[in-house]
Amino acid sequence: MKKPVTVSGLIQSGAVRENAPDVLPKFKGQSDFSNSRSVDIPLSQIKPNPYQPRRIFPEAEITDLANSIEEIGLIQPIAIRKVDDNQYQIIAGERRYRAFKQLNKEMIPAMLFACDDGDMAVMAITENVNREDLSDFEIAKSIRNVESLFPTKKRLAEALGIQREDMYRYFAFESLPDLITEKLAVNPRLISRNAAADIKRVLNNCLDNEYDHAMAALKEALYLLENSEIDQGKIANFIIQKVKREISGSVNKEKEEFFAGSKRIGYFSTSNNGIMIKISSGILDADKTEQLKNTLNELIKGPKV
Amino acid sequence: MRNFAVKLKLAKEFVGFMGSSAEFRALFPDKKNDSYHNTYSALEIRNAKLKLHGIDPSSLENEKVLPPIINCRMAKGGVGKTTICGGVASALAMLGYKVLMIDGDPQASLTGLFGINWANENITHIGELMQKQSRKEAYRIEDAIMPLYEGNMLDLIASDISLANTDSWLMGVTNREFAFKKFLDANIGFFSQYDVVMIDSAPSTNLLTNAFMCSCNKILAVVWLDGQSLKAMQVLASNVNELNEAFHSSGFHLDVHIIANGYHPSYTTCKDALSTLFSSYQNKLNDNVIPHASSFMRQVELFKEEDSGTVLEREPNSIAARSIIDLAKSLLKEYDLKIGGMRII
Repeated sequence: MKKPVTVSGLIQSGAVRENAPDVLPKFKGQSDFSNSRSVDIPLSQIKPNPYQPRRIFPEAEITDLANSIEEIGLIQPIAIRKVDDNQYQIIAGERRYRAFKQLNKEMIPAMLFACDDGDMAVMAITENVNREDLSDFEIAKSIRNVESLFPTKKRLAEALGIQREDMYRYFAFESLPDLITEKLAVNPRLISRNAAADIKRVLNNCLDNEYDHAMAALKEALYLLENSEIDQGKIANFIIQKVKREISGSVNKEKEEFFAGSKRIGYFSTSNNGIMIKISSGILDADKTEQLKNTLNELIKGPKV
Repeated sequence: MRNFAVKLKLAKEFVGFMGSSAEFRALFPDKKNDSYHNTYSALEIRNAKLKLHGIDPSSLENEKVLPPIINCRMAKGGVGKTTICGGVASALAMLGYKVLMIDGDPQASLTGLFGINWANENITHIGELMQKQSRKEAYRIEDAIMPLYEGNMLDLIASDISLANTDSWLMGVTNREFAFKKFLDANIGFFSQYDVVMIDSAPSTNLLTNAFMCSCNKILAVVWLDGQSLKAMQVLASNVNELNEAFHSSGFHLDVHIIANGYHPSYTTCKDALSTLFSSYQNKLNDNVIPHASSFMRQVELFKEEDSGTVLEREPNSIAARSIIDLAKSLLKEYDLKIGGMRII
């Protein structure tokens, strides 16, 4: 049988050259990547990002992060840009930066990026938009902060990598009445952009005479929301139903109840929707029922409408 | 199920038995007679191998760890990915390793190599399983398995043309590069029963081939020894480098092991191509070179599909089968394969 072919055998026999030109594209090794762009920068030379969308940095979370950094080190370097000699700004990683400060460290591993204000703002937002831990309300505020850096809303949405309709849902937060925004300032997660857009739409569609009812309904809905008795997605509908009921009921609504002793046996009510008569069963016998029907028939037949 | 078994000489080699033939036959008391014409199946070889190392095959308990994954990959068609994948898989099974093959190519050539006509069979392919897992629908991988060698020594998750649709689903999956890895991890109990998983990838560079690559540590790149194929290394290298660049911060790194295929001693282009390959990737290149042999072309029967089979099954004593066996043996070390968790060479 013929001998198996091997590279070493072919080199030995001279069929394959050892010193052929090394021209094929390289596969990069692991060490070619490992934090190649990361450098240690003194904390004193780093300033937070002026476009930082995150407003709240709970002390406890920073302490947790600091503890984990102390234990296993920093897994991902923070991202910074150079603004002047020995002056840097954080693009992403303010929580890590604060944790390092808390640990009284002098230096922090960082990756340097070259970027202008627009890039910077967008990077800071997209970093956070794609994470789940920033609320829609905070994202909305930060989008407004950077809006002026873009010529059109379309470009702004493109830079953020979101749909234009979605961006307008974020903007809906601004059109909400103070009574919600005050609550959002304390609890930015209270409602999502979808709920905000729905509420805005309902309030905009209100007629003048409905507006006060709508605000009262909103207040009630928020109370229910804070007590987890209503889903935020249902607030808009809640307002619509409430207003409808108020308007129809408030114009001319009268209700008279019938009693036999202390027991309620029926009622008579009038509203814009019509007249309702209800009498419990067994109160009127067949004759009286017939009589009532005839009387009603007479009344309806009477004057033509 | 295929009834593949090898004769004495190969069986002795696969078990790694140095003694006399009579002593070897004594390892198989269940066989009817001790004839020279006895043949030995993958399962028998595995059990004999374990027995020789003093391990009771029934006492093996698989740890819940994923076996090594060998992904045959090249950014070019017709270079021999399927031949190498199917050939090495059958050789590894005959060497006593439990092998799961996954046909990851909508062309289903690996499925066809083992005589299965995807048009006539009810096939559940790997994309369908991944989708069901991701959507939290009920599925059983066991039902998707086509057993080829007795005792789960060689199993196949086959493919058909609809595997091409998997990419449009992957498009909307978060962390899609690791969708297949996630599927493996979610079914670790199933996959840990195998000693190795071999994947035959499509030549194109798409989301599914990326997902396969991101599930392993080292792809097996098959290079045909001509200029076109060497040029395709450009595509493969940028594909691999890109994945490594994107995910190195999470500790991911994909390496490459290269097999030269289609060597013909009278073609100068083969020698030039191999020289270039050697200079460029000396420490990534497998020493075994697969020859340009007509036995490989006889693997697939055009008109009697069910007769198709790997070169090892059809012509076990050919030079082509020899090159595949030698390659499979070299991969034991390269990919650190174990039999039921035991390192037996």
